[in-house]
Amino acid sequence: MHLPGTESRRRTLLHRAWPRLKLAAALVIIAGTALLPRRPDALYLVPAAVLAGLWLVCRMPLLYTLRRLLVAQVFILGIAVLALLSPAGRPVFLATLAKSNLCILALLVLTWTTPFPELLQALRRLRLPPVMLTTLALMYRYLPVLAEEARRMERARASRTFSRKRRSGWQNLGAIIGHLFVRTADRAERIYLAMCARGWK
Amino acid sequence: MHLPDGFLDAKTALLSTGAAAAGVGLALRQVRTSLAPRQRPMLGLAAAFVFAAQMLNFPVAGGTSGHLLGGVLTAVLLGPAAAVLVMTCVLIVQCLMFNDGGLLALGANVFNMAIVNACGGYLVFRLLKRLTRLEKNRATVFAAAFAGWCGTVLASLTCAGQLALSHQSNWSVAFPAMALSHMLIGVAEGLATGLITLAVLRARPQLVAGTGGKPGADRLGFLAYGLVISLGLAFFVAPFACPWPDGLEAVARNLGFASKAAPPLIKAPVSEYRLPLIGSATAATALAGVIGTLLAFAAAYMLARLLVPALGARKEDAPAGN
Amino acid sequence: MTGSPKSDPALSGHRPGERPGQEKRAEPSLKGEETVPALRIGALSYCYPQGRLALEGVSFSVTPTECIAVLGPNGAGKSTLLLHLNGLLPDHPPRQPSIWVEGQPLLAGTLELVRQRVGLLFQDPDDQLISATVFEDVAFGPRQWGIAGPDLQALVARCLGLVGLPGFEEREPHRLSQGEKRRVCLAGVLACRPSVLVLDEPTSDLDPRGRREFKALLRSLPGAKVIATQDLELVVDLCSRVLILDQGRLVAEGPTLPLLSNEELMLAHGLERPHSLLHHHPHR
Repeated sequence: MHLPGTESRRRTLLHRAWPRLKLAAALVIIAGTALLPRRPDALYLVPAAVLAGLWLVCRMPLLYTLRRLLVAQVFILGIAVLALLSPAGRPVFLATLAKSNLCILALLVLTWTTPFPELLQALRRLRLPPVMLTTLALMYRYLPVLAEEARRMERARASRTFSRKRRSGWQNLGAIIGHLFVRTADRAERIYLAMCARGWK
Repeated sequence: MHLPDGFLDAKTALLSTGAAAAGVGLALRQVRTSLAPRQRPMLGLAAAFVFAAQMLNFPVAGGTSGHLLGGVLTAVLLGPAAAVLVMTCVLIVQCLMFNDGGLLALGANVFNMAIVNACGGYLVFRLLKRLTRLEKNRATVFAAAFAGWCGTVLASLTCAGQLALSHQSNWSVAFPAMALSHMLIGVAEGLATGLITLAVLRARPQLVAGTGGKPGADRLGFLAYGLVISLGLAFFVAPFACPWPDGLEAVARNLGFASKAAPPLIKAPVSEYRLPLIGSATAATALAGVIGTLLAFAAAYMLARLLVPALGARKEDAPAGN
Repeated sequence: MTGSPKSDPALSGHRPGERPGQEKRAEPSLKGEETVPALRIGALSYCYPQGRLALEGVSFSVTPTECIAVLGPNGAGKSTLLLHLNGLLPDHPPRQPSIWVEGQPLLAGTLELVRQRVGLLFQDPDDQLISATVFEDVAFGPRQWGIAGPDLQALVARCLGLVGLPGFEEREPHRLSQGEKRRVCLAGVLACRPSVLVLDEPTSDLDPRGRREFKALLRSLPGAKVIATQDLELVVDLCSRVLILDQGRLVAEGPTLPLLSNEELMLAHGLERPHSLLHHHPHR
């Protein structure tokens, strides 16, 4: 499973900037871009230029950028095509395509330059409710653990599955995910005990 | 159904963020008062679980595969308040780490997927469980499966409404497209929800919420979530479902939103959106919705009848000590 | 290893639960007076919620410097016993204490104190390593007790140094090896400055080198240690005394070598004589 790692990133100026600043900047850029007029316009060049500059500074590999943008096109096109079917659709379609991609680029720069734990710190300083912060932190920590458990269970099932019927495939997956939930609940209980053991109240 | 940035206009984004904030605030309050500290770590683990579950591929016809969304499943297993928080965190991470869903659109996505999908589905789940005469486990699986379908379709409605309100697309295009496609997607979601609920019931029945709980507190929660969802439907769906679409067009023209009619790039299959016999595409979709609901209902019922044995689960083992 | 926890200046000073000036505790006396045991368990019994008896009348004590092992077949109640030592079980603190930590009875009012004095290392390091970075995790305990800022950073650095992982602060847990995760967990427990270390199967999933390194680490840490384990070679190397638990009852207690050499006793309780004693090769 590909969790955007941190050690392989190059340390640039943007990497060292304050996470809160980066989050706020991303919001401003995205808000500004999203609120641009609904047809292709010269104004679009403003966020495009800003983002191009940031992209160059943060040294995101071109292939990585293109790959992520390509994956995003699936979702963007899927919804944007609805605009095509409406009257006066074409300008809206093109505008949306451009705006969406610019916003995705902004998010890409943010996530490239800011590892998730730093984003969590920024959210903590922005006074996100503690329950949500704990949930986000635990989620980030245990996602690879659970993903590995799920993969192991899938492999174990696959090694004992001989029929290729779709129904048994679905039932198997249902059983795997169900058991994953039970194991997750047990693990959560042990984690609670471990947290209490170190003084958590 | 994750909306990227650039689709919603300012007013829709603000409206949906406000509605989302209301729902999440409600959930936070409920969690703070009624969730024991022992259950707190489970929120984070459940969020990781939803993510991990989404990574497993369910084979769908023709070599494609789909994956679980998990909103209704989480609500069936953990209750609505926890589900709202868990799904919100999942959406935040999906946005910030995987660029799945926009940052500004987070409010709309949270409203659609964490509140309408999870809570709406949960309300359907509880209602159905109360009304059905099936035996307990069967009722749970039946209700979970149907609620999974409903939640998906409901969320697609508010999503379509948000797109239409932003003038990203006409309601008469967005509604059929979103509703019909999600009626199909919902089948997979409902099936998966039912199967997973069944597996959990078999292994550890006490882990399924909605089997018990204080009726008094429940009722208040129901009302509150029902209210938030109704408001959302009022904002995003009602303006379009009302029988005066022409009036809305007139308003739009007066406010200068509608542009000069340029011919659409792709000729819609129904050029003037009227079908013989059935009428407008919107009406056709509504009819399809009714039929789809009945079909999903029947399918969920059959699933429960076929897969769940009439008498309860096997004897559970006591936990092994060490 | 740079220093031991007790002599380390960065770790001295008043501990959580104490007011400044309360640092002096009972030291082992040279005049032959009775020393307060680090742990004393008196007739501890526990039933699972389902009604099954998990522990029955378990009694023993641990002096401030000894390392004892808790052995027994699976299902004997070892983990359950360990959870009691930290006050995690039973769910509601008892009215009559069965456990005394450095002379203090374990009751509702002393729970916080006991939790700090008894450091528990869980079997699966993934259950204990809960934070996004190593620093956050080691800092988790001290943060609960109010330590912050540069003091916290120094404490974390010291503890990571003690377990042989200096500079690991910014590493992410899911990228560490099993042995490294265990050591980070130990650092996190040491950061709470416990008097007694309780370890549940500490070498269960380590490779031979990891096992040797962890053994050396444990040997370097002073203070009382209670180790529940199936690793009999570890017991021979580190522990001076052994307790054997079977079906919730303490069936044997005594010095390591004579007890472990008693083949009949070991086999009767689901264990066996360790190979190092069979072949007279003491592993060091």
